[in-house]
Amino acid sequence: MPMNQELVGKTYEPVTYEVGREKVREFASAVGETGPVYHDPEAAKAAGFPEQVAPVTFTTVVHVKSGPQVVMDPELGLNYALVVHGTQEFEYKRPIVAGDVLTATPRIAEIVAKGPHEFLTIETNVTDAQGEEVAVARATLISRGTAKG
Amino acid sequence: MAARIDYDDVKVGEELPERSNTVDRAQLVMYAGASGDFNPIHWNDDFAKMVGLPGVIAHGMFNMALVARVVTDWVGDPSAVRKLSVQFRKEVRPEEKIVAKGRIAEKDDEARTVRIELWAEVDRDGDTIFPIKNGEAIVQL
Repeated sequence: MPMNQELVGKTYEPVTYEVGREKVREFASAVGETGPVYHDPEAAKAAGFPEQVAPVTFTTVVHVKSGPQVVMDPELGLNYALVVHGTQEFEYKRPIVAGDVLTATPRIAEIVAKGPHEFLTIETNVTDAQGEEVAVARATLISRGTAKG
Repeated sequence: MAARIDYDDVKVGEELPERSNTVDRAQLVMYAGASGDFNPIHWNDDFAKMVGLPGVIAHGMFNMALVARVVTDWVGDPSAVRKLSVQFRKEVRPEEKIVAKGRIAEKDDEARTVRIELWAEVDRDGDTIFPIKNGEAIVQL
């Protein structure tokens, strides 16, 4: 069954995420980032950062928390078992660092059909405690075989 | 942090040093914990087979992190990355070696930004497949 087009533009509840040093280390280790700025706050400061730096794809950790309310929205009618991750895009205003208190606000940017499949784009705005934009994440999920015949 | 690359030294067509990883299951469990993505297709073979996969597969975002390293290791400064995007095209399985590659596609003299094309390759049964295609990074120098 196709997704509900009326939800294009719907904005969801903001989710707050506090970036911890150990979480940044854990993430950096998991993705093989060995650079000292990702592991050691002093090395990061010596390099000119305010704090230990998160690897560029750390934004994932934030939208893993904010995304489920979108894909599980009963009004959307998405069958998650049919979903594959199609594309991922990040825009950065500045790097995420330990101590950041981030707020991620997801929005349904687009639902389009191409052939038998539907493409759902979720745009997540990530801001800091001062309300300044840190990053924008755009994930396009492919809902296989759900486009209207 | 200063980028180790000088804008004027960058040449269109130049290939960036590649980054590779041989995927093992422990990495996928670590990445699941670190990212919070506990989809069982990344750690439970029975579940993965039930949904039509050959077995567990690597997280797309785990592969994207390797592609990101091509950029950040080259430029030497994560804050220089303005934009990063990828298309996920094929799955990567445990024991497979994924090689992430990049090439300078374009320079913008006014903005002093560089556009990098990114992709990732796996050799499977003698064929080269592309788990990640049409990736792109914009780097400010």
